[in-house]
Amino acid sequence: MSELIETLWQQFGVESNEHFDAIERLLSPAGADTPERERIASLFRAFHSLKGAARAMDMFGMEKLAHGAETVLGRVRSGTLPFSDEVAEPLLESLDALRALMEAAVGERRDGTPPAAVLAKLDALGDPDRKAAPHPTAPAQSPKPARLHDNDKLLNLFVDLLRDSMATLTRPLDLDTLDSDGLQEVNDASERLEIACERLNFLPFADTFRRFREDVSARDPDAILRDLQAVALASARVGRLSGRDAGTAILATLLADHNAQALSKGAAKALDLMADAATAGDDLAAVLERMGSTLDIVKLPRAASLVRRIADVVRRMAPHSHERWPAVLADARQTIDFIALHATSDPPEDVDTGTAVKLETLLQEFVETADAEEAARRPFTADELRSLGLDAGLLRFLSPESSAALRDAVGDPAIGLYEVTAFLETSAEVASGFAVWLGTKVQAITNWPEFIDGKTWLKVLVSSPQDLETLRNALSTIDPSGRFLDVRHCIPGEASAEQPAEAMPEKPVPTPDLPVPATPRALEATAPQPAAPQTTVPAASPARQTAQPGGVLRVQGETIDRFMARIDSMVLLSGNLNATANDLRLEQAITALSERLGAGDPDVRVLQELLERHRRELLDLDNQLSRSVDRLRESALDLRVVPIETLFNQFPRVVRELARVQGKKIRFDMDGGDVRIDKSMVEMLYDPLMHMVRNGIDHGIESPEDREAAGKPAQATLTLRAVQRNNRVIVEIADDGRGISTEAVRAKAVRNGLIAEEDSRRLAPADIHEFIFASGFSTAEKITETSGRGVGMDVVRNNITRLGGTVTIRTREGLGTAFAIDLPLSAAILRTLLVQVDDQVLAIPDRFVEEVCGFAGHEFHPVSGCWSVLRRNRVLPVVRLADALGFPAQGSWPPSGDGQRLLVVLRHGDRRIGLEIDRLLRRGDLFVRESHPGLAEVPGVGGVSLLNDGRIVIILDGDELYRLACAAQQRAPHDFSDERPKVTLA
Amino acid sequence: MAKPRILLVDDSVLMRTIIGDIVRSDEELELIGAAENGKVALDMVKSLKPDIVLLDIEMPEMTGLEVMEHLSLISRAKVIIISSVAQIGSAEADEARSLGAVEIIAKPSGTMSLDLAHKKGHDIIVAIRRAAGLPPPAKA
Repeated sequence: MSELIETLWQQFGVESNEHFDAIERLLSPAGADTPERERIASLFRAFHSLKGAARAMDMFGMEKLAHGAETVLGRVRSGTLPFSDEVAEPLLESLDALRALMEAAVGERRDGTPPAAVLAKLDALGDPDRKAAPHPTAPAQSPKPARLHDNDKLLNLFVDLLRDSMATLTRPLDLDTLDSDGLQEVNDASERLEIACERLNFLPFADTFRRFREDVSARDPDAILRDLQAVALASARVGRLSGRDAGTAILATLLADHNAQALSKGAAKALDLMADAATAGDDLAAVLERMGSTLDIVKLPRAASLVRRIADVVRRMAPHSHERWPAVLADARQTIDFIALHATSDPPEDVDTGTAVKLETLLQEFVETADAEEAARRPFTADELRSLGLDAGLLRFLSPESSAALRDAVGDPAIGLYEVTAFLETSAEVASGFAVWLGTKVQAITNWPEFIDGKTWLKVLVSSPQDLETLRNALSTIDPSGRFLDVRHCIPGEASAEQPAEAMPEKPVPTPDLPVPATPRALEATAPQPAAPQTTVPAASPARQTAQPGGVLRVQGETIDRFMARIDSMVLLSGNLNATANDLRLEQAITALSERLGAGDPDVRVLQELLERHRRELLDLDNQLSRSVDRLRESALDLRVVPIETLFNQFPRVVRELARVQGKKIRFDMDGGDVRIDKSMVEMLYDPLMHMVRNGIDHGIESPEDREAAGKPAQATLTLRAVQRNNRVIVEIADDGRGISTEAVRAKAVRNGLIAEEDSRRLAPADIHEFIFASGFSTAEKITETSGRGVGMDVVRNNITRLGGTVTIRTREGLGTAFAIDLPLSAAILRTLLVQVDDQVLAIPDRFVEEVCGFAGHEFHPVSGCWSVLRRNRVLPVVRLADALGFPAQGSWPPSGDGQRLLVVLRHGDRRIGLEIDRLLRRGDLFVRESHPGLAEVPGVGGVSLLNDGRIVIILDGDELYRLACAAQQRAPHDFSDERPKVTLA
Repeated sequence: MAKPRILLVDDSVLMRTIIGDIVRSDEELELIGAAENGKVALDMVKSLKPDIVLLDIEMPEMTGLEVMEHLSLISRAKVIIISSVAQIGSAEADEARSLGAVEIIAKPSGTMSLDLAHKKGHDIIVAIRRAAGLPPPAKA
């Protein structure tokens, strides 16, 4: 699921950008080269597609905006609104806003609010009551139809044949006067037409003629009429597409009486079926559909559409348990009655608009009510969550069980919903206190991780009858500092974003109302431009061009993931082959054979040698195959890398934004965007980089006045650069700001008690700068909006260290600062075998695993004081993985009986030890995440990671695990009291 | 019985992924291809002979309705319109129906949620199965 969602987000980003670029181009003066009609159609389509994509991703803000633009363009397309600057401008503004919303959506996976001003403009233009100005362009013409068939000559012959055959074809309508010669003629005509249809590949039409002949020979008048009606519809289509008369009119005249008959018959049948709500099912729908086709032929479009509408509702609503259904059905019956009466009169009359609208509205209302009622029983929707004061993103974390829990909580007026934000990785007391509180004092509904300023916070949705104050007090006894736990009341009707948790470091929420459209062009458009020649549309500004997001992942993520999955299954197969090839029984069988044979029949001896040779070849092939599969896997892993541009491109907007807010002038340069890193690292690097970029702007870069006073250009430069060195990547963030004051850092370090005054005097400047990374250190004199939130460079360094990297600093007072992050390109990805012990998923690094094998309980024997099995003629000591790790163990021990026990054979140099596990899950490439400091100290644990389903995996350290297993083997209680023979090593 | 063979026509790769995933989620259906525009769709219809075509309306090159005019002559496939333009009651929906579309459903939304199968995806599966003459999907 989450892999798919990743892919969807990437495609959403790529596709949105393609539409943005297209819109940009079409709205720019260059787009005026495109013929007007085509230009409007393309614009309409682009906004329309954006709307659909946004809707699919639950990005309702984008959807709303795109919908507004689409509506405006719809009016332009239909000719009720002229395309002028007045229209183009708000479209450009919505493009800007959509871009910003999309960046926020893809970067932060959250919906945004479209700028109200732009929406209002679009609404005003899209309002159909607005007086339409005369349309300057020619009315829309339908595009030249695509050719109906490659062979014009054959098509023309067919059209002639069809037209000329109509009279003959209708003869079976009067079966009584049809003699055998006449029948022959009818059959010949329809057979010729069938063959022509086959030639032209008009397959359904050919079917119609074949069926027609069958129905004629069966002398079934209803079926014959139905077939001829099908001929009428198809001939109309052929006529329209070929631009020639295919006999439609002749046929309509010939069928007129019969159509009327068919309609009254159909209506009678429909009314009959409608008499009982229970029988009004698919049969009724089919009868109505047929009436619709007949009404099409007699050209009564409103009646046709109405009848089809009823058919739709009948089909959709079956079985009709809804209480309002009989009433709706009664209305529908009246309509059918009405249609039958008027359609069969001479000349036929269509339903009047009033009646049509009335019934349509009724049907629509019914469907909507029924849908809404059904929806009430369904899982939550995004809108519903929002109305409860919850974030729509929560949907991802609502399982059926948690949905049910949430429904229960919502249904009880005495129970309130609360969102708890917790950071549990600092204090063990807070963590354990919190866990107890969660388990006993409140009802936890669901939880999810949230990345805030480089740290993973835990969010928990809980329900409780207590009020906010009580809960807050309880939490403050667990966390007196108030820094790690907070609770928010989710109040129905209030969106979560409107009341961010206090004291919590919040990501900057994009406020599109203010900054988004503030590109120079938006200003340019409103400012008078006396010198510039008047163009249809304002020119695109250079700023927009630099914002071209060319670097969004253009690799088909889904393809790669599927590819990886297939390689994984191939690796498993290769493992199975390995096990089969190495199967001891084969070797034993061959050995036994040769022993039995002795010096016997030489011919049989040859066969036995052949067998033996084959076995060795098999082993050899298996060896080669597994090496080749390994190499394949390694190269496939390379496909998971993406250009670091994907990450970098998220910054220009932030920089622009911060510069604007702080009144600073900044040129933002990016370099080395083509350096490729693992796609999972993009995510991991975002927060540390964002923190440093913010720091640079906040503390490093001076105001334009200060810069000028210092003799520097008013515009500062901030550079984000990536360089690849062998298998490491260095990402540098550099500014030409005021640099770091060594003296200020030194004084602060002394003040904070990090070093004694006299010691500090002896330190080199570079060593003093290192204090910046010390825990809790911050030189900022004021807490600003963007940084100084108590999360310091210490966190950044920790995060990077956990990724296996380093971060260093270079600074010169007055000249600027540069931070360099040095990271391994892919070391953070670990190939592991996932196993399960009790409920916990554990990952054993693949290179420590020799194989996984199963042994029956009775194959375990005590050898030299340890339970062991005989594997490839060698004794393999076995311990329970749970015992080795000191986890609570499941299942009986020692093993006995026929039940299979799974063993992971752990390899450590030349030594092997078997680890008994509860379940084998699969192989998996894990991205090693920062682990809880407390967890990191647990012996045997190398790190943690998350599975796709959100479960936590503990990654075991191979060396440590081997040591623990050996220790467990030593201390295992030597209960060998059962009667199995003890084996001693020879 | 052979699985109904389904061709998906939509100009958006995102939609193709989402709808494709929905179709593939039903083991009794077979997605045989996806076309990004009407021209490609008609070619694929000729060569692949699908049983069911899932068709978007608003597309470049040829609109879904234009595709249908041809399709109704050259293919026996049943057409299900998946479009946000063709709301029930719209002119496009009426035209699609008179051209022989067996069903008109809205594009999926709310894909991000876990209850995908219960939402629009469910409608699509229900429509396809009905068109293919299969029983409705078992309730999850």
